[in-house]
Amino acid sequence: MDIQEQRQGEVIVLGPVGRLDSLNCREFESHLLSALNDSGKVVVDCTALAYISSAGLRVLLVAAKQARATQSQLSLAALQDNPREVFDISGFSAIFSIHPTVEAAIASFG
Amino acid sequence: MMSENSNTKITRLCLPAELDHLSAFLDHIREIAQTAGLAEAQVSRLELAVEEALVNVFNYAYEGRTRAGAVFCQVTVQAGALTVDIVDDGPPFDPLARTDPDTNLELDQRQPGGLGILLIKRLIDEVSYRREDGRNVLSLRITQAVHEG
Repeated sequence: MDIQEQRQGEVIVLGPVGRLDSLNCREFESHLLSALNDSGKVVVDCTALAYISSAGLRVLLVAAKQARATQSQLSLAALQDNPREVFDISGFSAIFSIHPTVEAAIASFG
Repeated sequence: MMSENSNTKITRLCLPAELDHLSAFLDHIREIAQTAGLAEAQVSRLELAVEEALVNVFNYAYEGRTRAGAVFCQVTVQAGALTVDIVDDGPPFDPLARTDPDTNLELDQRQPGGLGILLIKRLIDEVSYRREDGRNVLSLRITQAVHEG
């Protein structure tokens, strides 16, 4: 899968493009977990994320638990309609810090 | 394979129950759903539900067997409804019988797993399981926003 990655100051912004599903969740998992290790402040930019299945949700849950355990910060930004529906059903809208824009997500880190 | 009578159109696809074939199944479903006139949001819900159902079959239906079994996907398009039956010949297993995960728990209490079936139940209008001729059949039926004809 195509995963855009950029640094803004000490924050790593990861932008998965297209689908996050059973086929590519492992690849995204390794990117996300190493970003958390490297920086401790990570934003997942969901602007171009059109589709997420439970395999993708699992990766985000694992990452959120790791962030909690290591006192890292993980936020999501710009969640689109289809993934938003999946988040709402799964209860993930309540357990993740989700912001309208990447800038707002970065600002939330303080 | 495709057969037609009056207003019912049935399409079947049968492939080995392996993750390598997931895209082929999903492309197949997406194409039929679009042709049937489902709204894009409904197509996306159906595709997600079918992914979840298939991955369950891939992971569990043929556990412990040396050779992968097959999974069979039948799509029935009628006026006002589209039904996807996902069929495997593994041991009897009703995925809908499992208790839904508690989605109100805090992060620390949440455990991975169980969300796939929950998504199927919430995204699809009618979901049912039956054991038929020694096979598991999970039936997903979308009744809204299908164009007639």
